[in-house]
Amino acid sequence: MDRETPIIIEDKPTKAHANYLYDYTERNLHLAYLVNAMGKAEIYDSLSQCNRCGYCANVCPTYILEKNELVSARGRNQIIKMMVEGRIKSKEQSSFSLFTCLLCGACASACYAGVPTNEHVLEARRSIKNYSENPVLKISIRLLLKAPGFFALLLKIAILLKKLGFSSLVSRIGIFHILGVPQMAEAESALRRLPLKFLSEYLAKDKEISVTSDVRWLYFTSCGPNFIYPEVGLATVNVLKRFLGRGASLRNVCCGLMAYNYGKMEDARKFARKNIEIFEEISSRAPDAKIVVDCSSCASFLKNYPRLFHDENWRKRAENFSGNVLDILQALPVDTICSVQSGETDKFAPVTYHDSCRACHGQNIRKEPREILKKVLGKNFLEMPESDWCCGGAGVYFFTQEEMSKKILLRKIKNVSAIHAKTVVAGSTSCLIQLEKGLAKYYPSAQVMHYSVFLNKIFNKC
Amino acid sequence: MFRKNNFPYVRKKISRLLGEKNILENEVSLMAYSYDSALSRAKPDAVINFTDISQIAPVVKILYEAGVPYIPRMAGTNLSGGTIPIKGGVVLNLARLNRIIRIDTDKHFALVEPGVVNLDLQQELEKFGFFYPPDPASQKVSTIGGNIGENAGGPRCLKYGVTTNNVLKIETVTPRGEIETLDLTTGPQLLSLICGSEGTLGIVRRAWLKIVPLRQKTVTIFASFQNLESAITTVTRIVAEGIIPSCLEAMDEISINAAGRGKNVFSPPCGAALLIEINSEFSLEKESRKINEICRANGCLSLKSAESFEERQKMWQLRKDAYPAMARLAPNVLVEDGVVPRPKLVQALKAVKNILEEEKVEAGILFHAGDGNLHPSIIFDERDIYQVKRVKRAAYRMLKTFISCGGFISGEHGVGIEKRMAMAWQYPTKTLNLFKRVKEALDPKNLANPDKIIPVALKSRNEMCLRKTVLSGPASYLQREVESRFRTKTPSAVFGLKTSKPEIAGEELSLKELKGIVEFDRDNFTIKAECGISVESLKEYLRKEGIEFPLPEYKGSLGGLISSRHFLVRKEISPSFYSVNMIKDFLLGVDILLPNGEFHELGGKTLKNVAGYDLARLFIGSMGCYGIILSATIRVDHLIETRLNFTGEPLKIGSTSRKLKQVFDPFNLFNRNIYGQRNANYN
Repeated sequence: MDRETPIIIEDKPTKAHANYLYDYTERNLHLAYLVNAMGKAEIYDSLSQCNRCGYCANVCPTYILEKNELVSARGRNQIIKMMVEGRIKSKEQSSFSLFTCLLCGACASACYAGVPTNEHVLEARRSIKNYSENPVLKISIRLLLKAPGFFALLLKIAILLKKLGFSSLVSRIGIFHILGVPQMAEAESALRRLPLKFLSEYLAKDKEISVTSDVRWLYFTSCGPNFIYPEVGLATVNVLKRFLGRGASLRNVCCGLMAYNYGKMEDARKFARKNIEIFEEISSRAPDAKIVVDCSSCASFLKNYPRLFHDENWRKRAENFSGNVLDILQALPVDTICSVQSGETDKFAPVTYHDSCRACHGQNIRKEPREILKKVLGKNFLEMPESDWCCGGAGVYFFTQEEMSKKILLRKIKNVSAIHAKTVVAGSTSCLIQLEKGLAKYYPSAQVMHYSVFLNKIFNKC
Repeated sequence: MFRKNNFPYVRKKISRLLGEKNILENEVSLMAYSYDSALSRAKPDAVINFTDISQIAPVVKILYEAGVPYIPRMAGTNLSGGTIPIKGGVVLNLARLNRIIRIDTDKHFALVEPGVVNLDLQQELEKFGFFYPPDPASQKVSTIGGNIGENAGGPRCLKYGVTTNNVLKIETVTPRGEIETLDLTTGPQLLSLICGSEGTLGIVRRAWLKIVPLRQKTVTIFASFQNLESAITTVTRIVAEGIIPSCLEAMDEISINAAGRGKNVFSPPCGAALLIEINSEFSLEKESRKINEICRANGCLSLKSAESFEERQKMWQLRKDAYPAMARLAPNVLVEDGVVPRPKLVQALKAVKNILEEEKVEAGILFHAGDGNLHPSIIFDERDIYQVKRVKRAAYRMLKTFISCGGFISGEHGVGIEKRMAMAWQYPTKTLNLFKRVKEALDPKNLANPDKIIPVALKSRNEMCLRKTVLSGPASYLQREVESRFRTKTPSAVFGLKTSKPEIAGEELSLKELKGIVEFDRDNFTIKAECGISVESLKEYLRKEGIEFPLPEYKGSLGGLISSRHFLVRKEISPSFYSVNMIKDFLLGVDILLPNGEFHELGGKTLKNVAGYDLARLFIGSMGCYGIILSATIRVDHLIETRLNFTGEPLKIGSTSRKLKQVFDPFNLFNRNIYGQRNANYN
């Protein structure tokens, strides 16, 4: 045989391809479409857009640390493509590649064609049997959806037990894990901050915020600030009142990101529909109101609601909803922010900004918070190297991929310490948990602070 | 198709060396190493991750003894299928060996491991005010080891040369698993042989790279033109004026639009743009004024000099985005890579445009215009098999065009497997056989990245070479003489003008009669001269043509300069590596005559060339033992600084150069005193 011509395994033509990842009946478990730099695409087209140039490799945290194609963005993308084509049959073997992905989306940012490898990974994970069958998760998502009050009560019991010193008991029962929030079990060091009163309860009592026709913002209560960091939510509301005027609480349900990430697409859609309905009801009374979210993970997901829906009608409604979502990082107008005398901010200095993945890669927010921080802080603001390097928290990643997460965290800490930062400002609760833990352990002279908490602290002084 | 997997027999040994977790064998891992940036695919039998450079040699030794094919691989951004394991075997993943061991700003070198990413090195060097010249478009990901394997180039290479001109010393692991250090003092120029060998002749273990101080003053000019032709003409004119910019890049409308996210960033909208950067120390203003004049004279639409650092970055970003941004236009991009002598660029460009039209494919065309390197980036969807066929046909036709323009099928991307076929158009079968013999000498079992670069089944082929050469009268007389001596196996003593008073061993073979100037290409700044010409009279000839080229003070012939003055070190000025000026930096090609009378044309008149092994530079310092240098092509632009006094170094013979002697001169006929008469290898 003449081996002169290169051996090329020709791909099947676009239209008649079979999808070996999932068949038509499982369509509802997956996204309606994916988005790259050229617009909407179905999964095989989206995967094929990758030209294998490899430019994503030097931004993929797992590849940079491991230098192994299996854990590089290009590798994952190709593996999933071969799964769709039916050339890789074993889903167990590919799970190593799929589950080591942080879903940070740095690859999609670096890609000129905007190939959303992180979304492909999620799609592939969803096709793995048992991925969404975790009974623990099932219960907690059900609870969050159907009876958020009861969920909160269970959580409070767990927190109370922990605060009373039954830490080992709590971990033995694994109640935090049952509730799908292993972050809180980890938060041993930050025990002081586990709240017994949740944010939604505080907000319910706040008389100043109620829906009237002139409200300009609607505060979206994310689960992170609600259950772990009530002070973040309170600070956000304060900052919003100060700079945007009248507003109200949306009284929403969970955004559904957890359900979405763990393969429970139907539940994610239910959360989304509920939120959309709540918003539509309020915006009929207050037409100018924008939804403001103070957790970048949720904000990014809310902005992506339209992709969830296969049917036209809901997609349109979702587009309307998503068009009105603002991350707190971008919600504040620069010109209304006054600069502060440098003496006021000296005790925090030097301050640096950590780009949460879902802010910089998910929503392309990089400039806005920096502009404001620079205006407020002047020379007390310092840029850290690799500020968009993931912190390794990534939802429950730090728990499922302990070793890798630690390596990623250490690199982040190294970068923080490189500029001797005293305060790290971040915009996502997942990052807050991870960085709080990491800094306390490896670089205690720095502390992490949520963006709105930081601004609130500064402006309440001046 | 039927391949034997010998890896299981040595698996245990290797796992003992590296640990179980560094051997990957499951289906998904193998699939993940079955592709690179090109189109071809093949699955390896296993993947081995290395964690320390000390592991390479023992593992290679084990694999070699067991007969397992292996391929060194790092970032896998190769564009010609060079890292595809077509014969199965083992992929050696060296990407984790990414330590920068030493940066010496006094002696001007950096010592690195093969997995260091090019851009990481640049950033590290920048802190000290230095840079490493080669900057391939993939520098964000591609590694030094890979750059050396492919002899990578980039925009800066016009002024500073490609990888081979910027490597000072390499520690390699030979295909058999022995560690060998190739520097500027061992044997003939083996260093150049390793650069661009795509892992077929050895694996880089550590590399000493030349680093250059950053110039503070740079002028960056962006000029737009109505069409590509006038832009390219401008390029030729600029260089013909005697200006060597540090970068001279051209891009066409499709690329400009792609990089500008669908918008033409120039006003008025243009059909082509040139990015010109000059950083010469003394004549910056004069040169930039001259460039402005030339651009205007050739009908440029707009002309802009960068006023700030940010503006310069912005200009470069547009150029650097041009290739990856093609990904927005279609799922796949095939970047063709060819190089032609600079004055032939317009001709090549017209032919390329015709081909694109005839084959109904679309492409953006990028140029490293200064060195005649062009990259048509053809966009397509690999799932459309008919389109793929058309794209491939177009690509092959382009390669033929480059060859017929006197150029090469690859300037910086390598041959790999996707251009193997074109090698038969580039070289006659006898030269391909010479390449093959070189490979066989270093790797008799054909295990180190097997079946790359050289077309397989050479015997059954008809001659397909498109290059034609005619020997001059004295040269063909010499050929007949050598042939007749080969028949009787008469030893010969090869010399030129006898200025170095050679020891005569055998019948004399003088090259004095070869003293013509074969071709002087003014626009391209190259001269091809026969090797019996004395260096003095060559200088005189150039002076008459108005070129003051600083060839060294040397009494002998050009051939003598190349083959005896092994390399030239400017010792008295400073001992630093940076001031090393080597013949290899201005030698572009040689025509040679082997002891058996075979004639080979190696290299050409382009600055870049990675089509096949770099045997031309191997003849530097060969002392006439490998063959007769009939003529040599050298670049005579302003690369080399003036006022140089060179001194030679005595030749040292290593085991690799001995093996190569077997290839070129198996009967030890030429200058037999040097490699020794009583060597057991020679009968």
